[in-house]
Amino acid sequence: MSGKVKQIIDAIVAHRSRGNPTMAGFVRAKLMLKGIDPSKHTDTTSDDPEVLRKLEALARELGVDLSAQPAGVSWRPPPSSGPQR
Amino acid sequence: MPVRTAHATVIGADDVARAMRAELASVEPVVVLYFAGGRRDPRALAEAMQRAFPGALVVGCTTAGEREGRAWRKGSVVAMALGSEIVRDAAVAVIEDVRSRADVKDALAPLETHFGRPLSSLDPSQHVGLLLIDGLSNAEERLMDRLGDLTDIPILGGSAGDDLTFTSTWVAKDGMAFTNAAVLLLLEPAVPFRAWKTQSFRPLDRTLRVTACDEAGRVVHAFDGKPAAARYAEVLGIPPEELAHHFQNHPLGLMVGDEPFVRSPQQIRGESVVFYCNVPEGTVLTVLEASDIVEDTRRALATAREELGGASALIGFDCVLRTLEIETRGLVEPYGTIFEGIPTVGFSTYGEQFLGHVNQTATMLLFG
Repeated sequence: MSGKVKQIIDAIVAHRSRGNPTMAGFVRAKLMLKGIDPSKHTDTTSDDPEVLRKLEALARELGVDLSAQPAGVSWRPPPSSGPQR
Repeated sequence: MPVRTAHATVIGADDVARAMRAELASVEPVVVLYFAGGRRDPRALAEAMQRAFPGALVVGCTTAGEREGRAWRKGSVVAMALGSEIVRDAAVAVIEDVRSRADVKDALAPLETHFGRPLSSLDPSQHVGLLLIDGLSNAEERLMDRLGDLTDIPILGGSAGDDLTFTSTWVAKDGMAFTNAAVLLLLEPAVPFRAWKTQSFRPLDRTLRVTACDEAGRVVHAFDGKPAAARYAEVLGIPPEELAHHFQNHPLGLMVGDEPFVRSPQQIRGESVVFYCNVPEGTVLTVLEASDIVEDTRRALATAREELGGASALIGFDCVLRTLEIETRGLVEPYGTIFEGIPTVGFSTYGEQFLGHVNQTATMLLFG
């Protein structure tokens, strides 16, 4: 399989940054600190199963809808441990 | 007054708290931060400081040195009282058993209860987190990674020290002190603010890929398929027996764009290199070269101050490796002038946090 890692990275960045370039930079930096370099994953690079597993788990926790394209990614509040206003 | 700082050199906890109460009396604090060096009972000090400021969130830790304004101290207690003109709202949580707990979400529930929403929905332009963590826990990376998943708000901080005895470090909140723990203070500032990190290194055009390691133990066994110490020395162009002498000026960095997240080597162990942080297998690290620590830090603070249009208070976490360099090179005075005119407290840390865990870095929170 290829390109799935990039798709999930793009979806996570879009979800967390909400279009804010500074926040997008922070999200990418956090991925780098996890050992996932966004610049190394393209539409055609092979998907590392371990990286894929990590990203899918993260996306699930954040409530990122991976079935949507990054530009139109839908958002729902992630599972919460606290009260919602 | 919106903010005031103080210091005490007396030893007894009650004496310290009494002195701080007197010095900080002009502020009705929302938050009191304190950083304590020297041989003091951390539990007694935590208790006494909370008693002295019953209406405030009192948060502190032990150190490897303390800063108050331009003054650099050792063995003292420094404190900052922040009033409601600076901090609109605040809450604090303790995360115990950081070394081995499975997750931290439940420990952060008091923060979510206080602010009435999940951490994930807090506005990063309106909130900032200060983290103090046991500097001997080896848990900073895992905790920051998890916090980074749970929230987008900037979190910066420092690893508590113990005057370089490496025996036990403590963090404190609500009149209690803890080891193997972290305290996360969540602030909603009433003024604009900036959180950043600064490190005085430039990247060289040489890299090392981690090919074998004990990540949890912070040990790299091999770079580029070769024994780590030998390969590190080879890339620096020096004999292997001289490698340790170059650690201070040539640590390694995980480059995120142009920004290094410093990974500092601690010691050589056999053919391996022990670091002050986790270095996962497959990581490509760039060799760094030391630059001007006074000028770089001055510029970073000046930039933040200019962006905010002023500076009402500064909280700083400065790596003990930086403070040792500053002392060794006789730069205590010029470095201190950087903080002239800004109410400042900080301490010398066993590690720093900004997005992740870093070394040989200063992380700072400036209120405008």
